[in-house]
Amino acid sequence: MKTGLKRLLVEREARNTKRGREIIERAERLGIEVLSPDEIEQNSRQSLVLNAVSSSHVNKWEHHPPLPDRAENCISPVEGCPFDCCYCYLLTYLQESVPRATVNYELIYQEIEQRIKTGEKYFSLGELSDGLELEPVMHFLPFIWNLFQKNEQVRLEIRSKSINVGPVLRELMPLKNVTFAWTLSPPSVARRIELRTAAPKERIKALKRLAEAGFNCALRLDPIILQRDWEEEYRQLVEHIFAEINPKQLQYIILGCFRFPAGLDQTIEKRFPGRDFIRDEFVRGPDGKYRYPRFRRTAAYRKFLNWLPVENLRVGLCMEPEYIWNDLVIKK
Amino acid sequence: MKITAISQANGQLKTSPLLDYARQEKLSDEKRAEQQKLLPTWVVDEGSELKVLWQPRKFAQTSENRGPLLLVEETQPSHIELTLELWQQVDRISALEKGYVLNFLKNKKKSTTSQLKQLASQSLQIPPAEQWIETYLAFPQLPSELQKQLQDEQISINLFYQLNDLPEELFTLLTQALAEQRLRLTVQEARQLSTAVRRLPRDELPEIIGLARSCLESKDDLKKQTEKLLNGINKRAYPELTNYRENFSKKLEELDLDGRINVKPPQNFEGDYLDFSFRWSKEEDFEKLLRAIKKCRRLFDLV
Repeated sequence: MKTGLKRLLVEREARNTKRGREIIERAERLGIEVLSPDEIEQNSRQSLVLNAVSSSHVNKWEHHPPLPDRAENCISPVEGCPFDCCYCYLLTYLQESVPRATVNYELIYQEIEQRIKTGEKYFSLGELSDGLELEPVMHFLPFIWNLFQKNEQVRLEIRSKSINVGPVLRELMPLKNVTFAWTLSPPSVARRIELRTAAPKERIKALKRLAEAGFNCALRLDPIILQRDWEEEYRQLVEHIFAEINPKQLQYIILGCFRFPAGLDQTIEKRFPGRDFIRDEFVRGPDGKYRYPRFRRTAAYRKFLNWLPVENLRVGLCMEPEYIWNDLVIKK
Repeated sequence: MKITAISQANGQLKTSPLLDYARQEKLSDEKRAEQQKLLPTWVVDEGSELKVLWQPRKFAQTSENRGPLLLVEETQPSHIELTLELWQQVDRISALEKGYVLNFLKNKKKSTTSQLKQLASQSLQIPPAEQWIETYLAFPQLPSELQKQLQDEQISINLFYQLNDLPEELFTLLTQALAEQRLRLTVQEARQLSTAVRRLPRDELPEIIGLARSCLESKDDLKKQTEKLLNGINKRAYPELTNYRENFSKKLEELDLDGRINVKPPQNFEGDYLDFSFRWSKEEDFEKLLRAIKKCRRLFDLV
């Protein structure tokens, strides 16, 4: 099992905990170098700093009109992603580029429990890092699993571009209210823009393994990048997906055209020179984010709705204002 | 000539009367002249001579009346911060001078971007963002007329913050035109311009430069010229949006609203509403107004 992780940088407080030592042991078994943070210049996303900080790791993210009203609670035992996707908003959202993880799972558990008590229904894992990639080292999911088992009314979506499904298959049982959602892009986009991630066909295989073991699975075609030849590439991707997977094995599919907050385009240009997907017609939307013009997006979504087996599949949009849902006559 | 490198003086500056001096607003001329001799000046060793890099204008010193000379290469970062703090207290450092300071540190002291960011925010009151640092770093390379305007605070720093993001060739062309007063740009216009250029593929740059040249060489007045430049670049950067806008204007014209109603689509057509504004003064006009509003129904197909 590979994680893409090269180094685990363990802070002293974390090393002194039982969980910290377990994580170190697993990392060593996987051939990951274990050091203390001051032994190396922390400049790589392929390192993971392990700490014992007790700050909040569950944050409520709300959408405001005109985006459909939907709040979700993002669970983030790790902040920062081992992958290096050129379009990722984390480039400007997080101060540190090196992923940081906490060993304080108990605190996260309590935070989730508390939020469930106050009526929160939607949780996600995989916003501030990949939801599965570090699981072979972190073993976080088994710790919170029973919380979702006990609270069937609460939904959890685990978002990933990883193929590390082994720990899930070995240690967890499917739950009705937990869904594993893979983000997919055409192979050319994945190669050029989603650096260090698994190839899309490998992700589809990983999804299939979980789906066949009875876990809820979903797909996110998000971000959709409307570059030259996008139509042919995405059509082929959709064909490939449904040649491998029965639509009934998917709970839903989410579509979302690429968008970005102000300033991210400049960061992308500097960090990844020559990636021309950022040089396109992007206009400011009512939420302040930049997107392809409205009618280009709706035209693209219509294509997807034609390609997808919509009669057997729930389709939703990600971060699109209500008028786009209405344009496409999709129920929220 | 005596050279004092503060780095070798074991923190001498911290205990010197210079800070006290800088903090005193009212000093007798005699005292001022005496203390002035303690004011440090940054110099670089250019082999045959020591070249003065920068010193506060208020205390422009002659070689006879000069305080400690600091060899930038040899001065510790903490003392550089201290001298900057001191200078700020004696005389506000202008944006242009801050640009020079950052250039010295980058080129002579080989400071890294993160060191520059830290120093810029702590000692020069520059926001610690890379684009701001780059903006200030570019000041000493501006045409001399613009440098003077910056020094005299006759031109906004924000204008350069926006323009600095442009490709170098376009930046040079536009700043040269600004210096020669062949172009006038507000900060807002500069922001629109740089955002639009960022949307365009790199291989379109020669055409953009050609467009800019032809606008700058036209006989139009400066306002018209800027408008032409922005429209030309916007049209290339936002072809679909330009289409919607033109289509909307055409449909609006066809409705022949008699100038009674102003109808605006949502910004960038992101929304499903129209903004109406109208005015009537006589009761009999109200019916005409309602008829005009009804005509506008057809516009809803466009949003």
